[in-house]
Amino acid sequence: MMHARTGSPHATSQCVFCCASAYVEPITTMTSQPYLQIQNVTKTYGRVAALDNVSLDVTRGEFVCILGPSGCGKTTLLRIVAGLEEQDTGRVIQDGRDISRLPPAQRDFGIVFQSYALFPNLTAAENIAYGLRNGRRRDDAVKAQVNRLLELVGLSEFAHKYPAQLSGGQQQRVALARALTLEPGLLLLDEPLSALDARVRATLRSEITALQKRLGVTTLMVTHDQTEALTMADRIIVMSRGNIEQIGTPYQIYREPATPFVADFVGEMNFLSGTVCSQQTVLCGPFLLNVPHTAMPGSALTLAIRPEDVRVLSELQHAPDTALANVDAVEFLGAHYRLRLRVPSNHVTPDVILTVHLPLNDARARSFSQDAPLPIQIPARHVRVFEPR
Amino acid sequence: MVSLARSLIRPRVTQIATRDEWLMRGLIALSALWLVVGVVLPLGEIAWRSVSDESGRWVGWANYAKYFTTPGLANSFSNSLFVSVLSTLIAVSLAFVYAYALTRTAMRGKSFFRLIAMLPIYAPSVAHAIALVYLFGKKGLVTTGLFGLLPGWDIGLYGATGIILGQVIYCFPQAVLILLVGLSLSDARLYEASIALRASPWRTFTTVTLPSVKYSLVSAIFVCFTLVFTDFGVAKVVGGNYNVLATDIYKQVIGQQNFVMGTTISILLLAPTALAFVIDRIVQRRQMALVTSRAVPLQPKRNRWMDRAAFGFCALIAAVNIGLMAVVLFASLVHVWPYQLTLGLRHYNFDLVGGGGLSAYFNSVQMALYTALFGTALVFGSAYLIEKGRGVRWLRTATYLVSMLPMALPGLVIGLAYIFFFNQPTWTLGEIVLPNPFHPLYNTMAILVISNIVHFYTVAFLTATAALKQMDPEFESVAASLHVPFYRTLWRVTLPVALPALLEIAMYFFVNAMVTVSAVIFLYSPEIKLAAVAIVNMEDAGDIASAAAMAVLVIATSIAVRVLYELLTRGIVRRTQAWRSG
Repeated sequence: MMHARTGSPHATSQCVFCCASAYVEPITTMTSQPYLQIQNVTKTYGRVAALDNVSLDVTRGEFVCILGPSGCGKTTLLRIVAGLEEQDTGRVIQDGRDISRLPPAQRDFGIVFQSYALFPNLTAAENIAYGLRNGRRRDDAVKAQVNRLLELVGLSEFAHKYPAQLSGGQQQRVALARALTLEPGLLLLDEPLSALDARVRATLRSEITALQKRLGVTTLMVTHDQTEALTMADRIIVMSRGNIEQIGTPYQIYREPATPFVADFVGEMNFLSGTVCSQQTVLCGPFLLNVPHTAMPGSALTLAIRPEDVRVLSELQHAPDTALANVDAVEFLGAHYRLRLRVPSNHVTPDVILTVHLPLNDARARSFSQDAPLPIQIPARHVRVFEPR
Repeated sequence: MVSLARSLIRPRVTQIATRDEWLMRGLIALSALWLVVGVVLPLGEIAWRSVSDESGRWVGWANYAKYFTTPGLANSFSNSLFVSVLSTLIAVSLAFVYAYALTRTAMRGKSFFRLIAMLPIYAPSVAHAIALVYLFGKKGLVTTGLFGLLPGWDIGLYGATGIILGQVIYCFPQAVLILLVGLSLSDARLYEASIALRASPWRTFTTVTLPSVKYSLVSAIFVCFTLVFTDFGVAKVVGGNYNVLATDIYKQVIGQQNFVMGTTISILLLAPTALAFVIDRIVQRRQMALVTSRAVPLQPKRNRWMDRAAFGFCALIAAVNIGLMAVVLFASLVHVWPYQLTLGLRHYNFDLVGGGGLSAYFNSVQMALYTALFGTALVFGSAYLIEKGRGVRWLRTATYLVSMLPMALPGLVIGLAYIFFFNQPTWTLGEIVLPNPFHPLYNTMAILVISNIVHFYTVAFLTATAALKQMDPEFESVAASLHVPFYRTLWRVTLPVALPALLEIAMYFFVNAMVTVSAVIFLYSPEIKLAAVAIVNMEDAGDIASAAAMAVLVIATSIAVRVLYELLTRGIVRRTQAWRSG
C-alpha cells in the first residue's frame, strides 16, 4: 500500500517553495501577485475531512491540474473555488478580491462538468448564447459572439443541432464554448474528458491546451487521469486524502516525486526496501547503491525506481549496483516488453522483485527467456530515497 | 491536527445570500407553510380531538376505551382488517400473474391488456359496487339467472363477500401498475446464467425473478392494503350489516353527528395505514440497484402453453373489467330494472332525483380542473425548491418528509380533519382568542380543491421529484456561473424538459379528483355538490339507475382526459424528439 502523509508539513513547505521561489514557466508571464490564491481551506463532511488546510496559488494565465484518486478532495476544492460548496474555513482570493463569501453567481468563472450539463432542449448555439441573453445585449451582437465561439471550437456547422444529436467530443466543445462566453477570468474544468473514448480524449487534450494558451485564460482542471495532467498542465497539484502531496511541473512530479504516494500514483514505480550501510550507501538485496540520505546506519528506508530506469545489460559487470535476475514473467505491450524480474538474494534479505520496461528496440538485439538469468543494473542517479518519518 | 485546531478557532465561512437566494428561501418557506396548514395543523387538530370530549377537555384514552367496549363498533376494526388482508392477497396475486403475463411471456394483445387493466382506475369505487349489485344483488343478473332463463346463483353479496369482490376490482390496477415496473426491470444475463447453470424454471423463478420484484411486491401489498382499509364507497353500497371502520366514521359523523367518536375511529383508521407506510419506506430504503445500467433487458421467448395460459388468464380479467363497465352502462340505460328492460337516456335527466344532478357533475369537473392546475403547480414548485434549492437544508429536508405524510392519510381522515380545522371561527391559545384566517375557506370550492391536492399529494410529489432527479444536477451550477437567475433556468430548461411529468401529474390529479369520495364527502356544501358524492347519495336513496348514469358520466370524463393526455404526450414527444431521448 501507498503511504500518504497524514499531516501536511510537506505540502505546506512544498507550496511555499513553489510559489515563493521564482517559478518560471516559459509560456506564462509572471505578475507580482498570483491570480488565484487558496488559503488554508478546510472542509469536513461530518467527521471526514475532505480538505485539510489546503493552500495553493495559481499564476495568471497558468494551466494547473489537480490530480488525485477519487475521494481525495480535488472536486471539492474546485467546487469551493466556484462557490458551489462552502468551505468551513479558509479564504479564496481571485484577482486580489476575496471571493470566499460570494455566491457562484457573483464570481467570475466558467465551468465545464464531466457530464457537460448541456441544456438538452436548446441547440448548440442556444446553449452558448444562454449567458449572453441575460444582460440586455443586442441580438446581433449575441449572434456574432456565438458564431465567434462556435468557430473557436470548430463547430460552426453544428450550431442548430441539439446536444443529443452531437457526439461526445462535440458536446464537450459546446460546453467549453459556453463556459467561455462571458470571457471569465478563470476556467474550471471538472474531469472534462473522462466521459470520452480514448482517441477523442487524446485529440481534445491538445485542443484544449492550445485554446487555453491562445486565450491566456487561467485554468484549473481536476482529473484522476495522470496522462491528462502530465500532457496538459503547466503545473500539477497532486492530492491525497484532503492534503496536497506535491506541487510541481509535470517533469518534477514524474521524475522527482516528493512522497511515495506521488511516486506510486503517477506512473509505475518499483518500491524496494533498503538498509542503510553508511552515509552514502544503501544495501538493497545484492545491490549496494550509492545514494545520499540522512538516515542512521542500520535503519530501513524505501528506494524507488521507475521500470524504464532499470538497465538491462548485455553481460554481467562486476559492479555493486548490478546483479543477475531471473525472468519470472514476460508481457508484450507493443512498444515495449514488461518483465517481472526476481533477483535472488542471500539468505538474510528477501528476493528483490522488479518490474522492468524494455523498449522493443533494445529487446530485438537480445534473446531473453524465462530460463536464462538477465544481468541488470540499478543506476543510483535514478533512485529516489524515501526515509521513514 | 494543527489545522483541525485552527479550524475550530476560525469562524465558519458562509456565503452571502443574494436577492435571488432570498427569493428562493422565501418560496421554500411558503411551500413549507402550505404543508403546515394543509397537513400538519389539521392532523394535529384531529389527534387532539380524539383525546378530548365534546367541550374540548382532555380525557386521555377514554374515547378509545369507549370505542372498544361498544360491541357494535369494536367489531368493525377486526372486520376492516379481515377484508383488507384478504382483498390484498387476492388482488396482488391476480395482479402478479397479470403483470407477469404482460412482461415475461410472448402472448398476443399485450398493449390491449395493459390498457384494460387500468379501466377500474377511471371509476369511483362506488361504481364497481353498483355493478356488483346489478350482477349479484337480490335482483341481479347472476342471482336470478338472467331473470329466470338459467338456474340462479346467489353468492350472498351483501357483507364481507361483496366488499372483498369490490375491493379486489378496485385495487387491482394499482397493484398491476406497481408490479409492471418491478417486472419490467429485468436483466437477461441473470436468466442466461441461470440456464447455463442448469437451474430448473421453478428454481430460476424463485432465485432470480422473485428477488428482483421483492420490493415492488411489498409496495403493491401495502398500497392495496391502505386502499382497501380506508375505502368507503364499496363498503357503503355492498357492505350490508357488515361494519367496517370507514363506514363507521361516516355513520358517526353524518348519521349521528358524533364528531368525537368520528375522530377516534379516524385515528384507528390512520394507525395501520401509517404503520404500513413506515414499513414500506424502511423496506424500500434497503433496495439497491439490482438492475445496473449495463443490464440487458429480457426478451420473453415463445412458449406455446405458457403464452396460451397467460392469454386465457388476461382475457378473463379483461372480460371482468369490461363487463363491469358494461353493466354500469347498461344499468344506466335500462328503464326499470328488472321489470322494464327497454333502453333509454331517462336516467341521465337528474332533475327528478336528489344529489345535485348535472350541476354536481360540472362542479366535479371544475374541481378536478382546479385540482390538476393548482396541484401540479404546487407539487412541482415544491419538489423543485426541495430538489434544486440552495441553502436552508433543514427546511428542505423537513418539507420533503412532510410531503411523504399524505400518502399515509386516508381521505376520510383528511376530510374530517379539515372540518375541524377550517370550521373553527376562532383559535383559542390559552387566554388569547384569534380569528382563524382559514375559516373563510370553509364551504367553498377552495377547500375541496385543497383537500384533493393534499389527498393525492405524495404520489404526484414523488413523480415530480423523480423527473427532477433525472436532470443533470449541474444545470443550476452552469446557470449560476453564467449569471443567469434560477427562475430563468426553471422557465427555459427545467419546465420544458419536465413537461411529460407535469402532464402526468395533472392527469393523475384530475382523474383522482373526479372519482374520489372519501375526503370530499365531509366537505362539500349544499351549494357545491359533487358527482362522486351524488353517486353515493343517489344509491343511498334507492335511485340506483341514476347513480349508475352519473357513474357513466364520471368514467367517460376520466377516460376522455386520459385519451387527451396520451395525445398531448405523443404530440410533445414527437415535436421534441430531436432532443428528447426515449
